[in-house]
Amino acid sequence: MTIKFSAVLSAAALFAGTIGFAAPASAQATRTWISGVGDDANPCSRTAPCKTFQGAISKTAAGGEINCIDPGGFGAVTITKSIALICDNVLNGVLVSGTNGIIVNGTDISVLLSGFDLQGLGTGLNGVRFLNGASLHVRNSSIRGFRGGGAYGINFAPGNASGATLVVDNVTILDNGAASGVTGGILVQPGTGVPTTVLISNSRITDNNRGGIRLDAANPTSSIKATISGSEITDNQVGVYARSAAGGGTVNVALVDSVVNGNTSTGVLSEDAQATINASGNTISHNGNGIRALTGGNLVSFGDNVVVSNNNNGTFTATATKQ
Amino acid sequence: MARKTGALLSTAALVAAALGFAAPASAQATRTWVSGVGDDFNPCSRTAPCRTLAGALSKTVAGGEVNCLDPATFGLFTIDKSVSIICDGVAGGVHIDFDDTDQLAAIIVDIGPTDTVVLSGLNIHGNLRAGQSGILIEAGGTLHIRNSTLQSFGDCAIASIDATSVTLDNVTATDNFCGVSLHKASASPLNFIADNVRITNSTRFGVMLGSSASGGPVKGVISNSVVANTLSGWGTANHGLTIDTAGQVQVAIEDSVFSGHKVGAIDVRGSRVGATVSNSVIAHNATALNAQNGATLISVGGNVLIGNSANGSFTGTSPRK
Repeated sequence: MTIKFSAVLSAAALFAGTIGFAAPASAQATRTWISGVGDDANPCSRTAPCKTFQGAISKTAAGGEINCIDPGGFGAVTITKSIALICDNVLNGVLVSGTNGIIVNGTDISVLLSGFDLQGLGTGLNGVRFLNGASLHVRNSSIRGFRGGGAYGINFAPGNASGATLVVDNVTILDNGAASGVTGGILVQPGTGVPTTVLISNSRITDNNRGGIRLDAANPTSSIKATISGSEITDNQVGVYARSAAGGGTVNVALVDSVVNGNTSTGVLSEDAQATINASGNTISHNGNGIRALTGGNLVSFGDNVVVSNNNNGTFTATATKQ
Repeated sequence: MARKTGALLSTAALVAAALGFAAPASAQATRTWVSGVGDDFNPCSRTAPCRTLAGALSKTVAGGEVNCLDPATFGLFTIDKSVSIICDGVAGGVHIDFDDTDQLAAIIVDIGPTDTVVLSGLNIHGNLRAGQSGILIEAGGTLHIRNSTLQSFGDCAIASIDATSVTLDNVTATDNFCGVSLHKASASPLNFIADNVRITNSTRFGVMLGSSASGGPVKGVISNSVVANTLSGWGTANHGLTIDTAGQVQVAIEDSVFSGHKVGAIDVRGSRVGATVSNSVIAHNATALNAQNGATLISVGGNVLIGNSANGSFTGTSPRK
């Protein structure tokens, strides 16, 4: 017992600076529970669950996990410490109007979100908004209806110069984005001097207004290294958009084994000399422009893409060889 | 203490017939159940479930199966016989919490060479404590892990010291010190497959394969999988796939993604080490390919190398047939 207690203390000491706690009224648990019929006055235990993520998170230790006992709408939440919210196999609704669903904002934190049904009701701002942290992992989730001004299904805009990683695995991003402006399905936009690594795998980014996936390294000395594999980017305005600008950073995208179809303006768009999209094994079809390079953008083909039936198929700017 | 006595009793039951015991107080069942509102004093039946997996295992016959009725945490356990723990599809999840200072892993598998263990539908969460794994296979046998997630372990999510067969199917390991480590200590071979596996955000390496100089060969396939984002730029053994061993290791990598590794994506070293790679994406790593000390790293074609600081090179190619 003595050993365990001191271990907890020392672990806590590591995080103490980050979360800055005065002694909490009741101890935090490493795993807490929420239920559609819970109560945030409860300790969030298995037998006395809480009602919302926001209520449970204050009772969950940094590095801990929150689970859902039964289906419910569990509300918006702001995350400022490392945590996993895992609610697969149960309807885990976060339904918001005019605001963000989940905000991640804490230095060097790692966050895992699994099994969400995020619904923005047409006015939500962002399904998941990442402002600061080391990593965000979203999986097995559906994000839809975030169509407020500037809204995205996932808005990943880390601001800490130590950099951040994003993993999107088995996520459906549907029906997000406002009718005009910079908005859409997924935005990756690191702040000045921030390096990011992005993996989007086995996901569906469909029927979003404006952008499907926008990888925007326009901020000076920012960088984006992205891999998009096994995904469908369909029926948006622009499917996959790698962007930089004069004085901006670099963006390099590996777009592989994916379908880019039915995007009204352009399927695959690369803008600026510091933007590169490498494409292998994709089907790029029924878009306005299939592939398009703007102001020196780079489009590299590995020679095995199917680019057909676009209004204007477009041309790659370079080729590379498989090994 | 009651649990320990029960385990001894049930082990005794296995040899009871031979030794001509009187019947033990509680018999073992072929199928047992656990529940968040169960009790380990129960017989672990459908209507009187147990509370912990350790409790249920002691009341399950060798070759039997444990199932989960409802969401809860079900405790740490050690498996010493053939058994299946099948807990898929439970709304709210079936969880193992590892916040213990004196055990090497949340689940320890220590079985005989002919035993088989299946683990399915588990969510296993550690506490980033150094030296502690999610699932540790100490010896012997066949282990099949599927439909499971392992997170926040201070050592590898899954580590095998001396198994003879390992199958990983639909497994996610994220935010661990290291992802999967498969080694062979004794002379028997290890065959493995990792299919539809996602290993992300490991501090050190994603996958490590090895065998001691006198150990049996380690042979297997990594297919349809993602190994992404090793976070430490430190050291020479921290890659997406690390093989640096005196023993014999052969791995075929197919249709997989290795991306975002701070040091190397695929790094193989040793005169008895061979890797083949086909139809895979190796992107955004410091060094994509590295073979040293006589190891072979062969392309069977269809590999895409993108945005690496250095691509490195295959040691050769092999035609498709």
